[in-house]
Amino acid sequence: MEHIDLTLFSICVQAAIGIMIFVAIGMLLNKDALFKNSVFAAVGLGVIGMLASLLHLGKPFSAIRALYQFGESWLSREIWFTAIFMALLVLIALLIILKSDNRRAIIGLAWGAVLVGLVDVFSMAATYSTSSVPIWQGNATFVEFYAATISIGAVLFLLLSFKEAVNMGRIAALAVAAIVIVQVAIVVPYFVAVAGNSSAALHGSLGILASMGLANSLKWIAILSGTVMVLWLVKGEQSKSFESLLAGSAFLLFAGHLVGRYLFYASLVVTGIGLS
Amino acid sequence: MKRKHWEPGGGNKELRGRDEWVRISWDEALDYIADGLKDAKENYGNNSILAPTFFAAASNFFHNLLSAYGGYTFLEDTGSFGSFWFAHLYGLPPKGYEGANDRMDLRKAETVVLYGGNPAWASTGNRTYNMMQVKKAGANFIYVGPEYNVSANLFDAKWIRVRPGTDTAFLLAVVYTMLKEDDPVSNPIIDWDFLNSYTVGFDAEHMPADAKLDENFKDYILGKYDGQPKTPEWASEICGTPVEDIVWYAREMRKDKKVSILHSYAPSRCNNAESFPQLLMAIAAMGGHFGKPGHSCGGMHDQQAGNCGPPLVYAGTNYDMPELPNPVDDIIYAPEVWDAILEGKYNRTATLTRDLNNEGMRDIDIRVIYHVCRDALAAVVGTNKGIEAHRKVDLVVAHTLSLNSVAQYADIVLPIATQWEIQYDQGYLRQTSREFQMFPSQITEPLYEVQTDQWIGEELAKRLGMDPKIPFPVSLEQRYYDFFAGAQVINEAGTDYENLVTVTEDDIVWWNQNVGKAEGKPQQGRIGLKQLKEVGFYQVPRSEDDNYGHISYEEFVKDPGGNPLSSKSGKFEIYCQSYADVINGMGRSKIKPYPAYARVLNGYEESFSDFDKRIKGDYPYQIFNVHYLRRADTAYDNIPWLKEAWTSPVFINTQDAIEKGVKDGDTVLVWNQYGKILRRASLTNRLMPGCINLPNGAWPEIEEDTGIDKAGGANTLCAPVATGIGVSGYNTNLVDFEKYKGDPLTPDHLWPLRVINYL
Amino acid sequence: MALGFYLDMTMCIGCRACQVACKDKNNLRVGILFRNVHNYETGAYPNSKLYHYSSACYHCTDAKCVKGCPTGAMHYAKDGTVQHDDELCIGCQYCVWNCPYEAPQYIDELNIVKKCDSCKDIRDAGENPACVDACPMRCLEFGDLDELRKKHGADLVTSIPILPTSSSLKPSILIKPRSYALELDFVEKEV
Ligand SMILES: Nc1nc2c(c(=O)[nH]1)N[C@H]1C(S)=C(S)[C@@H](COP(=O)(O)OP(=O)(O)OC[C@H]3O[C@@H](n4cnc5c(=O)[nH]c(N)nc54)[C@H](O)[C@@H]3O)O[C@H]1N2
Ligand SMILES: Nc1nc2c(c(=O)[nH]1)N[C@H]1C(S)=C(S)[C@@H](COP(=O)(O)OP(=O)(O)OC[C@H]3O[C@@H](n4cnc5c(=O)[nH]c(N)nc54)[C@H](O)[C@@H]3O)O[C@H]1N2
Ligand code: SF4
Ligand code: SF4
Ligand code: SF4
Ligand code: SF4
Ligand code: SF4
Ligand SMILES: [Mo]
Repeated sequence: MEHIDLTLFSICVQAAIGIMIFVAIGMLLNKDALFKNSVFAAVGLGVIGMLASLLHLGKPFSAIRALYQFGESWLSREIWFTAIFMALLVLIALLIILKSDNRRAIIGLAWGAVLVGLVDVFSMAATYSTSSVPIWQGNATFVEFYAATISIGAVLFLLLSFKEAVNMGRIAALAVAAIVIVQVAIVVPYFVAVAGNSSAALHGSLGILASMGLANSLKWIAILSGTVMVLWLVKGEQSKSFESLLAGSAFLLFAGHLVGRYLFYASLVVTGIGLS
Repeated sequence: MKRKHWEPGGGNKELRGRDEWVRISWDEALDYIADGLKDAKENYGNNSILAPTFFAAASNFFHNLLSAYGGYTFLEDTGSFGSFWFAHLYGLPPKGYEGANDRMDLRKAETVVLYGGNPAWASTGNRTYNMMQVKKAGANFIYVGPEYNVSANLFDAKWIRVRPGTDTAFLLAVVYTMLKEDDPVSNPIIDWDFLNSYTVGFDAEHMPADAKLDENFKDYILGKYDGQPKTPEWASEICGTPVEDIVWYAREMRKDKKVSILHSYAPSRCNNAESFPQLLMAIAAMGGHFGKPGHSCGGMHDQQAGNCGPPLVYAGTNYDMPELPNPVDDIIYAPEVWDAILEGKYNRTATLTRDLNNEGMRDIDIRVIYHVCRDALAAVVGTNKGIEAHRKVDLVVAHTLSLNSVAQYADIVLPIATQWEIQYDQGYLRQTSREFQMFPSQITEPLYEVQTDQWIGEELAKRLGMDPKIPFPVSLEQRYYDFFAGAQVINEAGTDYENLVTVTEDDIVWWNQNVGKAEGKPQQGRIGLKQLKEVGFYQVPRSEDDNYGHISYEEFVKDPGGNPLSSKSGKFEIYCQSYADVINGMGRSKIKPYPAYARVLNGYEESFSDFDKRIKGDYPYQIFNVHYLRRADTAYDNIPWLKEAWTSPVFINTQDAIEKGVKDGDTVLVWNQYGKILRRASLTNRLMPGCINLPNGAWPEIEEDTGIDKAGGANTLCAPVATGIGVSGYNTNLVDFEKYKGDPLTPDHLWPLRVINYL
Repeated sequence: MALGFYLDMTMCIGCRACQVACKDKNNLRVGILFRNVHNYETGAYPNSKLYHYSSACYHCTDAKCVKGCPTGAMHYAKDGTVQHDDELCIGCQYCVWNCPYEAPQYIDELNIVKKCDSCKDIRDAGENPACVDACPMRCLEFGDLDELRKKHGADLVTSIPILPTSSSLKPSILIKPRSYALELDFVEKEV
């Protein structure tokens, strides 16, 4: 499982960012709610993600040096924004534990984290789309990354905090639906277009994906069925099996994106000599 | 080291090649070997000892040792030169070696033919660079052979396609076309003056005095004797060359064109190729391409490729080491040697290196095989039969630098110092080029327990009750000194040699203190001894107008009577009675005294079960072996960096491969009745359909259960059979192939190193 | 006046002396190649041709590896060549994904990336890169590209179809192509 480290890193950090988006919105719409479970889960995901990212490095103990080139390197920026996001997140969590009455500060920090997080997701996508891996170079990378952020964030948020999150079910579900529609509308045509390209490196990538066709189907089935489930759920919010169905939907969306992200890394073929 | 289950007399002989190894002391090893030699000599006679190496050069340890001990059976191998052995009988230099002009003169040629030959791979170094200067000077290149190789490609040569082993058919049709199209007035192609003055046997009016057969070459070409004129249409069916290419080539040989024909020996390393060298010579003579600037016909082999002529600088020779005569006159040709061991008899024919006596069948009982300086299992045709033969005898000894194939199948393996570990006149580094001589130095202390061949010889001599000075009168250290001090260099005028090295009394003292014990005398030369030792080489600078140019046969062409060739008549013998008599006396196959077509054993026609109806046989593909850039014959094939750089695939024509569902990189099984090999396929459009090219020199890795050689040893597939001179016909073999159904091969460079881990 | 390599494809025989000399100079285990020779076949039987292409780092003047490197390990030396600082590198492999030419190589045992350094040490000592001096056909050179262009005439190109289109990196390379190296029907081959 060569790419599991980066898969975990990007999915977990994006999930954390996604959760915070809905936490921040939820804090505006719900007077008292602090969505403790969601915030703590975001912290946990972020920590897992950052640890996983270290595994990718040849020299994990020198990771700090990755901050040296903010001015030039998208990768460096990605690390910066991830770090700032995590710092804000931890601060929020601490405030919730220690000074939960300072709601204004918490909300302000939450929105700050959301902003930094959204920029972070952009940096992540830019890191890959500016590399010399042709399959990563399209808009699809941005869409996939934001789609993972929003859909995983939304369902995890609902799952963890639905009791506090009055009014949020509909918003979250619609957000998932919207982003999945965008995802399908952009990613599917992208791959169709790519197949017609003559780049050997791209075809190398497509070859790898084709060899993992089952996983690719699972990704889409999971994402689409997870989306349908969450939409259907908000219609009947009070039903008895609500909680377990929500968990199922969260699992499907998380797993779908996880598999998708793994495929993203697995399809890595750098242009090279004779692969133009 | 010793094979675990070997004991005097052989022990469990079947385990050779798959036994475990035990480490033993030098003393123990030398005692075993001395006892084994004594046992063989006393009980079975000296000819029960076989030492399969090339040429009994005086520096070779085994030759002097075993000769002093009463002699040994010698392995004769046409090897590199194929059917060119005996070329001196019809007027070419021995083995057809040299014979072309030097590199500066080559630039005057208008047309250069690479007849076979692949200098970019087989003559590495600056030969190809030099030949490229010929191209840049304006010459057009032609390449004749079954694959458009890297050299042909480099020179943008016109590809004249000829199937392996069918050159005789091709060239006969070239002669036919030249004859048909020639008109001394309107279309002068043939240089009749040259033919009449410098050759015999071309036509009825110019027959040599000793001719026994009332036939001549020209009438043969026209079909007078067999009713078959040797037309391009006739040849094309056999050699696969398009008719128009044969005609084009014939026209290109015309006398008013400056043509230099440079041949490798690949076309002569074929069965039934005895007429090929003589025919190549005949065509060059027809165009008058001998002895003139820009015209030549000669060898393009290793160091002299594209640069023939006497050396301008050469290292001192150690001829003071006498070559002892071998009292045993049993000499077996390589393709017949394994059968001789297994069946106890062989055909003692005229030899390449000793005498021309054809003596017929003889009994032989080989008990000891003693390997030095050769990997006879990987490099002699019929590897599987060779293994069987090894598993029959009482003792197999291998002196070796690495765990090569003969070491793998030996009982006692003696580690030999490489040329990097000692100071001596390294045989191989002697040969560089006519303008350049290397003077190598030791670069590392000997590793582990290695010894030299000569040290072993001296130790064995003692154990065999001989004075080591008899086989080895000169020490290695003295030989190394002589290598330097005896070096000669051409004088300014290009007329004679002079000492290369200046030696003072001080130098000799310095040498004895720092290099080795040697005797010497002060002498005057061009470069100081210390300086030469330091620099490590000497090069004679060249320019186009220097005095060092060389035009082969120049003297002969000026005055054929005064400077006769080596043939009986002193001329190029297009009809050569003595050649035919020797070959026909050998009893393997018959030839005519002039170049004539003969059906080729395991050749193209035999790839059909019915050639006339064109029905393919069991082994429908022709396979040949190129010399490969990853290794020098079998040497260096254990080096991972080189294995990574050169994958040693099997080359298959793209269309042939597609028909069998084989893609680039697929593992393919190639097989015939002699063995099976695996290699990754490299599909190419630069190879004639029906042909497979398996690079020579891999160390066989034969799986005991399947018999499959995973390394793709060339001789796993080469038939241990011989025609004519007894040629090792590497390039005329037949196989079939298919996509391998088992596990694909891992790339060679990821294989474990062939080293011994002792128990 | 960038420094870079010149390859005369009309002289190259694909012998890989450059590749192996580079491994020797840099003591690289099997699997790691700072210089790599590829072979391509074009055309149909019997008019098919072969060409070789010896590739290393292009010491791009707008190097993507430098731009992307989060630590600054990839950097420009004073002479403009792209150098790698082993001490700074954290082995993130981002340069491996950024370089379109397969130049940076991740070395497991060292946990960092390395690549062709244009043999800066021996160049600074006044000699040629190891690969250049190993070439028996004298078809590989390293130097000031303006001067190399002057020396080798006008018919030089900076890219051929097997190379990724990456003009934005401004690779420092001059190639004298074989005519058929400009065809699009190339197929990579083992030789
Ligand atoms: N099928 C097929 N077979 C062929 C050929 C072919 O084209 N196809 N080519 C043929 C030709 S042309 C030739 S020349 C032969 C060459 O075949 P060989 O005569 O076997 O020559 P090498 O492969 O060079 O093997 C020489 C061996 O000697 C060892 N050696 C080197 N120096 C020393 C030393 O100082 N002392 C000792 N004791 N050992 C040393 C080397 O390690 C190596 O194992 O192969 C022939 N075999
Ligand atoms: N790198 C390297 N160099 C070597 C060696 C090595 O092993 N490796 N070995 C050395 C030795 S011992 C020798 S003898 C020489 C051999 O040197 P060469 O004889 O020049 O080399 P080969 O590769 O055997 O054959 C050269 C070409 O002949 C063509 N050919 C094969 N069969 C035929 C045929 O029947 N007819 C015609 N017309 N062409 C044919 C092949 O296409 C091949 O490209 O190389 C020497 N140099
Ligand atoms: S190539 Fe040069 S440095 Fe390397 S081993 Fe040979 S002589 Fe020594
Ligand atoms: S070739 Fe690759 S590694 Fe070299 S400078 Fe350009 S981008 Fe960097
Ligand atoms: S692997 Fe090293 S050189 Fe490459 S981008 Fe990362 S830190 Fe920079
Ligand atoms: S310049 Fe040096 S490091 Fe670069 S490819 Fe050549 S030998 Fe290798
Ligand atoms: S050393 Fe020279 S001829 Fe050989 S592959 Fe490299 S560039 Fe080409
Ligand atoms: Mo040879």
